[in-house]
Amino acid sequence: MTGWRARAHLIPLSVAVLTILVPGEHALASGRNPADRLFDRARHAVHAYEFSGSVRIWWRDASGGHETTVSVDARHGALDVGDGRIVHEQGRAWMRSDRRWITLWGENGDIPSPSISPKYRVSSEPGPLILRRATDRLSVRRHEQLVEIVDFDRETGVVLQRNRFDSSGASASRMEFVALDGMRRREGPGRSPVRTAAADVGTRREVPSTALRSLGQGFRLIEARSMADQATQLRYSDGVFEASVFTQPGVTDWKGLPAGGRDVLYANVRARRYRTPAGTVLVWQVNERTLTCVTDATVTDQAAMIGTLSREHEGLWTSLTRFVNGPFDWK
Amino acid sequence: MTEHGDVGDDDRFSAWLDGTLDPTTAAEFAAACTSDPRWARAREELVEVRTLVRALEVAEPPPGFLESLVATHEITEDAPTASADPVDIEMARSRRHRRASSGVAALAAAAAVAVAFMVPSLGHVKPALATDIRVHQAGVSSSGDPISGLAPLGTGMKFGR
Repeated sequence: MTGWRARAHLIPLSVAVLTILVPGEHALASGRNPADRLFDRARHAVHAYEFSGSVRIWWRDASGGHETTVSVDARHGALDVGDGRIVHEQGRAWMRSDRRWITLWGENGDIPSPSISPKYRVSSEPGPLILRRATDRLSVRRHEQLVEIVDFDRETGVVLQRNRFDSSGASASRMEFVALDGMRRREGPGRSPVRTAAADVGTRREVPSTALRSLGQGFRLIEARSMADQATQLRYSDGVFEASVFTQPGVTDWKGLPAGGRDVLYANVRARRYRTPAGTVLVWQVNERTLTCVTDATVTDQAAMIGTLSREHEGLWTSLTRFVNGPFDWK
Repeated sequence: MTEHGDVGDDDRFSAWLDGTLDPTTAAEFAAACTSDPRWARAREELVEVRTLVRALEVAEPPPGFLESLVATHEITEDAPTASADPVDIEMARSRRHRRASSGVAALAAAAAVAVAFMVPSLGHVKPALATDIRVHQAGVSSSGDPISGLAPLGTGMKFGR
């Protein structure tokens, strides 16, 4: 079998591959496996399709489970969340208050997050019908323990349900569509982006050469930002979970922190922990720096991150102190 | 619920927050913020924005300054002259006096002065947790699934145990 005949039998295979690759037409560069492409496809689906619906958020903290329902509306290439309070458009995000817009994320374009595969084992299978829509289910495991189940809409790629589990295997948080109407491919140009932003809470900057490139167990630095309140944000991802570490010079005003937190010990590091619908927030102090970590990672990963960061900042501060005091210690 | 008409302009709000309004007008502002949720929200937003903007006005070290400082120290940290042993203060003063004329000591002193003046003073920090969460989730939506990234921000963002 030679020539085009030899290639002809590959056509069905090519079609099959395309069914995976086409949704990932915006997928990042090579190295993305099919599981990564499912998330890439989901990211772009909210701009490629139009729909409206309701999403139920469930999360658990020390007082038990909580849930609330939020409206989502994808129109003209933009995603409105919470009755338009949050607007997302091609990677950028704004928050609307009664009187002004605040830019939460002002840069568009893809941020290359690491692949899932080095840290996790993933498997896919047909998922359940959700609101009468067929789904594909992605199960993510680490050391044979289930950490997340994601159900993608088979037709569009939209994430219809997401269930995260903590280190004990119990459900930690869940997102699920409870209503979905009018799903159709978007036609026509996108909506004009928000232009009336009154305050920009941070801007992307070049990653400092001294920044910690990896964190905890398998989290890689993907970008850095300077915040308006003098904090530096370093954002890490392990392909499934993300963590932002905000560092500010100064000792922690423990009494000034919001109510609702709980003091916890990670190894020998004391931290104030908040559990929110968005995940866990940890505040702690290393020497004379205040660190805040926002993450949806498991407690095991949180402990590893705090350990890494505390050692790093102790080392940096010790270095600076020794340098400044050095002339007076020389013999 | 008492209605106080349209929320005032930012300049007058700022003047009120700065305490520069006349007592009568200031009292009206205070009453409006107590009884009208729109005014209360407006005040909270302006306080938040002022906090952000004021933070921007604080002088920061020039780009790369801290990095270069650390990089410089990475060279000196392992030098055999560094020591963690206790130091006699009088002896240290004497040695420091002897070395005052050396270029190395002058450079070190200059660096110490630079650090003292250029590194922002270390006060008590109260992280803006709600803002940090919003920024983090916006970032998550830019690199992951936008719906599961942003939906939590539509919940009202109450902290809980």
